[in-house]
Amino acid sequence: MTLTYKRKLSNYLINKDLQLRLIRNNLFYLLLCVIATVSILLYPLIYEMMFLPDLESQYRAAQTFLLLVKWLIPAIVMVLIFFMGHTIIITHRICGPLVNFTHAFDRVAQGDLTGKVYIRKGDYLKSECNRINLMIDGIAGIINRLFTNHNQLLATLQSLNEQANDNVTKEKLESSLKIIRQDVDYASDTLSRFKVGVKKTRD
Amino acid sequence: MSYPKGKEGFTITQLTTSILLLVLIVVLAIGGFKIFVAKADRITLQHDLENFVKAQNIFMADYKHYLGEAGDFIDYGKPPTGKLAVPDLLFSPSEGVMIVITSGNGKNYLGTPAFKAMAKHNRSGYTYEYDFSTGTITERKN
Repeated sequence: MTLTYKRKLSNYLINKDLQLRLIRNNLFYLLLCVIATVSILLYPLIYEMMFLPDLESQYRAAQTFLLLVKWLIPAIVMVLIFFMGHTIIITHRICGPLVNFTHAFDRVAQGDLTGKVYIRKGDYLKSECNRINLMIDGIAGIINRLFTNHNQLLATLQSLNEQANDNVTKEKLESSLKIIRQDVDYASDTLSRFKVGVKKTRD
Repeated sequence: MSYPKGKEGFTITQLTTSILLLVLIVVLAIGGFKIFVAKADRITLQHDLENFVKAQNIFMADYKHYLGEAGDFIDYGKPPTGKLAVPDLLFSPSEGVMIVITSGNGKNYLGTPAFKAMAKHNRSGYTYEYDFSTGTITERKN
């Protein structure tokens, strides 16, 4: 589910811990890559400047080196700034849905199956969001059937209680018990879909 | 739901370590860069001073004297000043380089004070001076 939502600049660090970690790591590796690339790129010129015997060749290497450095530094700064901005946007589009998922899981843990997970236009994890909504719908459907069974059982027990007061015949009693058995079987069938780990007790 | 204590956010140690590591890498990279930029500037200065001397020698061959007197200079991107503003002097300095006549007079280059020209760069801490009477280049660190 997608919502049209106007993003605020202050909300871009929606999950500071994860986003700052990703930005830090990415910047660190980018910086290493940039330094390695620049070193490889400038090495031949540095070699010529340092070790060539004639001043004219050294001068040509030095001029090319200075020209490259002059343009490389602003280019590297721009790349780092753009990369940082890009990382913030990308991580924001992943962390935004993750925050919504966390809220949805909290609601489900408290038994509230009425809410849906919404993601904003442009967010990632759209298919994961749809699956979580399907999961919530599925659990809600099962719980609804259990509610229906529960209500039927209550009604049958009520009717059985009334019949017990009116000298009910054995056939009528058996018929009511049969209905209860059917409802219990139906509930058991619904519950059998769940697999739950057995909690170990200390005793 | 809450995270276990200590799992949420950066710890001071993590943050300090990563910032220090980044600063160290950047400082080392900038330091390395500066060393090579300084070397390139020094090569440029030596080269320009040598070229200036060659141009003066060509002028000398034609006119029997050198050009300029103390205070005259040629700065990159600007017209030469004083007696250096002659079209026959076939020299233009590289970017950031300035050639200054520090002492003497080109017309009396063997007299006192000695006729000297200095090359300096607006970024470099080094200067190179050529003495026309002895034909030597002296490197100076400011």
